[in-house]
Amino acid sequence: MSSTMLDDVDDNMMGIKSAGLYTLLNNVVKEGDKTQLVMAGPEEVLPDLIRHITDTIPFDLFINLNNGLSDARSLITRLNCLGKFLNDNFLQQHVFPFTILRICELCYDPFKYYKINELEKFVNALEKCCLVTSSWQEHENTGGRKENDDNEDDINLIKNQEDVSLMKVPWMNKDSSSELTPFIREIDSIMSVNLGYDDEEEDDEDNEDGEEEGYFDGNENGELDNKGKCNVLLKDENFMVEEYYEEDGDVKDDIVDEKKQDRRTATIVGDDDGDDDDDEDYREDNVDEGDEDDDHMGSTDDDEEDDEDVRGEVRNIKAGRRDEKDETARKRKPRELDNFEYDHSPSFTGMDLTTPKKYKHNTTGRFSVIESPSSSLINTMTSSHALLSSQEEEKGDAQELRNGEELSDRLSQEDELVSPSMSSSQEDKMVAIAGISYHENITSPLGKKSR
Amino acid sequence: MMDLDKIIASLREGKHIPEETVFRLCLNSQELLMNEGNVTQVDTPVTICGDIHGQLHDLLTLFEKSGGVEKTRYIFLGDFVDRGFYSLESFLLLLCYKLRYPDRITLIRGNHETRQITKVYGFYDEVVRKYGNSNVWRYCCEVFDYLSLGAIINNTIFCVHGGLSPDMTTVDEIRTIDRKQEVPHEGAMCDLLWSDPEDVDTWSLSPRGAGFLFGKREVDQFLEKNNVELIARAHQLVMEGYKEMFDGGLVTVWSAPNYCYRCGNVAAVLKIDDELNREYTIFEAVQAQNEVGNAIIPTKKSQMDYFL
Repeated sequence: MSSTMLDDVDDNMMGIKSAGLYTLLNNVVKEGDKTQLVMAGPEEVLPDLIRHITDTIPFDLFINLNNGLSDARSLITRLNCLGKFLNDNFLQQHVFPFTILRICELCYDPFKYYKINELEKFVNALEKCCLVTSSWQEHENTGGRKENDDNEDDINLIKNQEDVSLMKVPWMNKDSSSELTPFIREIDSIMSVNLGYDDEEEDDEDNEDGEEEGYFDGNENGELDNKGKCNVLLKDENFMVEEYYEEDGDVKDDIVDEKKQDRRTATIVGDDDGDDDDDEDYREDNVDEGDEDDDHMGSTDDDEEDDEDVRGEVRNIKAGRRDEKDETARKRKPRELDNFEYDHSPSFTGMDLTTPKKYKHNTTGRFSVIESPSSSLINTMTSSHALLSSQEEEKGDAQELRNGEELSDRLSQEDELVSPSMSSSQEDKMVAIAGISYHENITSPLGKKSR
Repeated sequence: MMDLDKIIASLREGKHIPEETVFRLCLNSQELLMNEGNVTQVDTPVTICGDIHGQLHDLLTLFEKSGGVEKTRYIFLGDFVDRGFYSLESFLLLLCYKLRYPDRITLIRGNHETRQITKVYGFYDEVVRKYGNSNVWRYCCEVFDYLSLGAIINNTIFCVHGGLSPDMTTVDEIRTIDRKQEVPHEGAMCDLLWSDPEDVDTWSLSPRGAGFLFGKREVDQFLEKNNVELIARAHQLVMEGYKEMFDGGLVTVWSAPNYCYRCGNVAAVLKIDDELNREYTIFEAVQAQNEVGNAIIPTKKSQMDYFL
């Protein structure tokens, strides 16, 4: 190549020999138009880019080689390795590396960042950018959200809202909102009498957890559950979440009272159905986290008493028709490690739109869910009938405790609605966790007295 | 959407980042960090920054005062999270810069980049408060495990969060540590993140309960043995922002002004140019309120008062 031509190229195209590559890089780097990369595609861009990296940049742009510096040879080798790496891992797979933007920037104008004799630093930088495995295309597709349903978009929209007080909840259809009407009325009545709750409690950091646990118990009532969803999804990023928890905790006592009456009414049928879907989600998590949680069982809880009060009330309603054991709310100590192998896929998917708090409180939730009469529905859904026979013993106890009216009511809804308890494997776990007292509690109706 | 520039923009405003996005960011960061050695090589010119501790607005000031990521390389000496109210945003911002400009940002692990410490000193609680669950905290902790333990600039300036370890006296030994783990309670990896320089004759017990105190003798030995001119570290609050010790053989850089929003200290970054000259830049904390009078620093005052 003649020197005049080199000068020409330098003047016009930043030393890039391929006109196509120059135009593209210019658009991408100078104009910030990333769509150009997508449109051209790796097959078109990468071959020229690799040639630019391995040939033009070391031989024509930097002066290290001309000076015959000793390290120049090894730098060429490293650049060739990078070229091969890009070819093998990305060009052959028809994708860009996710760092393609930075690679473009470095290659478009190396001298924006490096002096003309700093080829080594350039190679260092390029190595840091190139030696990756994830592709850029992947991001576009999985992160792009474009092909996803509106649901997710709506939620993101909500998240970006500054004021969410009057937003329509996207997953709320007519059916579910009509179901909610009686409950909304309840909330209104409660809110009107419960305005004077104590704000000071909030300053106690421990309270937050305690209240959340109390809140979780509320989920057994199904309706509260829906309200929880609203809270989480509608919450503004600036909004102090604690208040919600606190409110729920306080509100529940009143709800519980009212629910005593409501329980007898027909609304309960619909509610139980609602429970099923949500509770099933807990169960999966319960099983997953089971081992991990074992470690924490022994921990003490500052808020135990509060929780017990709340819990006690909830139980009173149901005491007539289920066996229970006395367990205290447990809370993670701040120093305890939570290092179980979490699922490597993000959980923010459509079906996980339940309140995130549930995940956190699975540990207490497990017991509650197991005890909840509605959770027996799940057991029947998720476990086989054979399982039921293995638990005849418990069933007998439970049925003794139930009053006939409710039992027949429930049986008429679904005839396999018998097991009050969990799968055997889970039961083993329960025994391991709760120790001997657990067995006593489930086998003897008197176990209840220990409470 | 993984448009890093957009994510960076919203992080700078302290906006909420979806859990799924955080997951992707963390995954890709691990990929980059995995390629780095325990002691990663960095070229000059470079700006060395000390503890950040979740003070996002001061981190933004830091970038502004020191030229920005487009203009200079950065080494952050760890302790990105805890104490401040924007641990997550601060850490994610650094990760995003790292992903967007892999050649410009080097992140080193501090003693707060561990599960145990973040659980107690604020990061865990912050994530749970912002997301309602701890998933994001878990993702970030995975990234912590991949962070380098140190950096070396032009083979002449050794950067580490805490200090030296009696177990490992050469940089090459440090390179042999298997770092992909939670920081242990003892051993070289722990010492590098926990030790402090002090006027002591030899290795001494640290009042922190982890790491050691080391004196001029240990520093001089390390410098000579490794043919290094300077040890740059953070880890200790310095009211003046930086403090050189042992005849300039060691410097502590502190980059969290008005630490914990109450210490009243200034912060500093150390710029090393191609000739290895040291140039300190001092900066102060941002105002506690923005231009329209809204508190940048959240208060404990209940917003529910509005309804009462």
